[in-house]
Amino acid sequence: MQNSSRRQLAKRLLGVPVDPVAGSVSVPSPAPLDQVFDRQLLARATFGADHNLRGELQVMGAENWLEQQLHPDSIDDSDCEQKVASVAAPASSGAAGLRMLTRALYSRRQLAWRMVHFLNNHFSTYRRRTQPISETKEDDLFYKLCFRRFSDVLRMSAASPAMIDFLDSNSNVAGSPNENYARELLELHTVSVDGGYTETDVAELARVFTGWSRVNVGPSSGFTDSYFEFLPARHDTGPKTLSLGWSTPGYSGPEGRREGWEVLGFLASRPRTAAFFCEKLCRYFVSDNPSVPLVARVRQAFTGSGGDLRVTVRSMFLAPEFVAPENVGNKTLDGFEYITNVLRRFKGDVHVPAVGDRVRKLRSQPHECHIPTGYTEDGADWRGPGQLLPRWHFAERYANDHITGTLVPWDRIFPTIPPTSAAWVDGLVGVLIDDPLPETTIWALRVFMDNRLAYVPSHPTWAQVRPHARALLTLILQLPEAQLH
Amino acid sequence: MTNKRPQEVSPNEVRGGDSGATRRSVLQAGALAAGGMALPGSLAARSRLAKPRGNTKVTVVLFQHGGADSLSLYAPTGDPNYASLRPTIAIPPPSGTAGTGLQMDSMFSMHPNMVGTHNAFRAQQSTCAVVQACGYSPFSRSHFQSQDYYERALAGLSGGGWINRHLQVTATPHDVPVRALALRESLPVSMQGPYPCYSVASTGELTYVGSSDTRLFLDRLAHGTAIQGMLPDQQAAYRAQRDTFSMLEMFSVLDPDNYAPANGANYPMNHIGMNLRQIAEVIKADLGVEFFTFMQHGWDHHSDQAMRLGELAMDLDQAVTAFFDDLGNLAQDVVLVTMSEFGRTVPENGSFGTDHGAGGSMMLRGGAVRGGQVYGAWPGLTPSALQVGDSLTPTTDFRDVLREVLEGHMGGTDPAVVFPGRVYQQVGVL
Repeated sequence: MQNSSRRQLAKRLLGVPVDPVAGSVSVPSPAPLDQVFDRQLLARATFGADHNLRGELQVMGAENWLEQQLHPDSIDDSDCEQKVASVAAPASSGAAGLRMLTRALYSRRQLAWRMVHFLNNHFSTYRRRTQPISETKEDDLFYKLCFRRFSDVLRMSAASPAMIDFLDSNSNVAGSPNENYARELLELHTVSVDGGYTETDVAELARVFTGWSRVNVGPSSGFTDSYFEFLPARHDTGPKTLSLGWSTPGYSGPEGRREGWEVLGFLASRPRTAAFFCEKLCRYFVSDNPSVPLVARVRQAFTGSGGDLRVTVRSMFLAPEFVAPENVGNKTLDGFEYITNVLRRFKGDVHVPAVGDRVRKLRSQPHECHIPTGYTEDGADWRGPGQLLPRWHFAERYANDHITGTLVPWDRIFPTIPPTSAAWVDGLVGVLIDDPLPETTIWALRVFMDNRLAYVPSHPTWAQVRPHARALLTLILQLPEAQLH
Repeated sequence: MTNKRPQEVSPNEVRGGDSGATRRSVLQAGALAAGGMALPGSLAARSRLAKPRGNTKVTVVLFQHGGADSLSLYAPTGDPNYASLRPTIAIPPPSGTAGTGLQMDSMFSMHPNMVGTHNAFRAQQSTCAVVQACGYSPFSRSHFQSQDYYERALAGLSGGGWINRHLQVTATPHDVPVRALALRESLPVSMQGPYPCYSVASTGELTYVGSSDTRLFLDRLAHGTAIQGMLPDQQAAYRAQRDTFSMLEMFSVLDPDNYAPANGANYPMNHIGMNLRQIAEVIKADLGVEFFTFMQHGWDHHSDQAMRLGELAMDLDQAVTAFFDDLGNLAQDVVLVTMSEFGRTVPENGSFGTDHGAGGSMMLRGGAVRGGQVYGAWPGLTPSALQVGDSLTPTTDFRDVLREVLEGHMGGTDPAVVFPGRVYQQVGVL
């Protein structure tokens, strides 16, 4: 990193003024701060910090790396997209989840796919009540829009066949409205449950969206395409008023569609929407309990830019709170992240569908939350016994190569067999865990390995040590520290 | 490769009294492992604090997620407005032919797919009862908010759940480690709070897969590592590991794969069937668990309600029937209570479904439930009787039903703590 940008970073991180004359910063040791920023970026802006990425970030400088990640189309990702194409045909059952998992594991556009993971859950749809092709197309659109305006994402979601199927917009008809989408639009997607709307608002809003429908194309055994369609004949053309401060005279014919379009723009611009969405964004990327100044800063960026998500996300990562000590290593991974984190760090062979089955056992597979709220972002829901036991099970199966086609690349981690227990422990811990483990834990892991190796010959073969290496790996993946990032 | 024994570490390397204790416990683990002993047995010494007395009273809470349509499950076929408000989805009044309601009394009929529950309701000395038009006021139509309210049984959205508060006020030094178990992916709000409660998606997951030495080291690290000074989520991660080991130990006697239900009980092979089957096994193992809760998903029928609700009603009926068949005489110690976040709009919508409403229903069975009756004043379905013009007006506060379960079945509680601010009005179901 250039000295000048290091100073700027230090200034941002600590809010310390830079002395323009001397050009020096009144910070005791800026170097470790850079490391914290690097560490946090790698942990939170990716699905797991593998070694390549660490190198990439060091070469580019953290800020440049972040900027590149905020412009994902500038990153060549053809290797990953090739894998995506081969893992599941776009219209096959469960395709979207497998494609998302593939991108989490292999994409170089890590931050963009983190955003898709987040947005997909904010606008949650349950794939068993939608069509495979519509989930696939929806995720691709989340990717396209993830650094555009919030209103663009909101409008895309409203018109997405997946959302239309999931929340019954298709059967929301003039004269007999269905409130399902209207209510969740207010409560879950925009102003939130405390957003000050009334039951009448829900009913009025449902009328606005009458006629919003979708067309599924192809044989009923498996639609090959799906797209939005507005049906004027089903639209309620009367006037509508929201107590939140919006009204329409009502339009007939194809014009009727603009009511929905306009109200989505209105809801996207509400201060309550900014507050709700920005806090949720900070919960996903920074902390279960994001500090008030952090949320205020991000919200200001959101509002000041007209809901520009690139500006918003950038402000979050560059906020001093992002590297505050209480936010480092103090966030529980969700089930999906736990698995991608392990697999990305090891870079062994992975059979994506088999891994997808394991993510499902952790109740964390995208598109499979059956309620519109989406999966919880609260760490407390991701670390109890009900989550830990299947994680421990995953750890044991992965370490023993018992997940189909998914192998631990031992000779890549250890080109030669480690000579001591300490070398075994340090090697695996170094790959898997970013922050220092408690001294007692390191010590106990060495004792564990000592015990394991006590009866192994002094110049063992891989076959002789591998069972013990697998046991050590199981134990490390099951540690409390392996559940955090 | 060196095969050294574990190196002794000088005490100076470990600072502070607590860390010293930590070191000792970890050392112990090393020594035991080095001795090559079979270790899981040694865990038993730790938290086996108390043996449950026999005939523990048990409450099973079945949450019907999505907002179950109480007017289809326990349909007011005797109300003159019912059929006209629901031209395509009303349950037909009882006529004895297939697909018509099963008569409960002159006003209500049970869903035609709930034969087993109806038999229990009509039985001599029935312990199966229904409370109609329950809820609270003022009502929320948000799934999240209303479920939260039911699970907290407390005005406002802060404070833990009602089960947790009951466990707090009835705690003794001899409590078993797990008095409340949720068969859920994560701990439901009703069990959240200071008293330790636990959740697991299935009792089949209550097993450590792996070798005995990894289990031992993990257990010792969870309990022996000094966590003071760690960040909150780090400490929580350790506590979660300790909890997990407590659960493994307490439930080590279970063998759900080989559990054989009694009395020819025939559980359906679905989520609700499996959950009740697992709960029956835990009850029979007499481990002292007093509260169970789990969810039956899928009650949010905005469209095509008749068919989709019919399937869920059948699942519910078959599973609950099998559960009570299986329990046999133990049923006198067990009360099962259903609840849902809200009932649904009385008029059907344009999609052959219903939207989020207000008043709903609860079904209670087992223990000393005064069965064979529908409880709660019926508010009627005339336009002026409906809430916001479209929903059943609640006449019974659900907290009063829960209070009767705790006082009439579980042996008492402190209502001022468990249901703060609620002025009790007798329901009479227990």
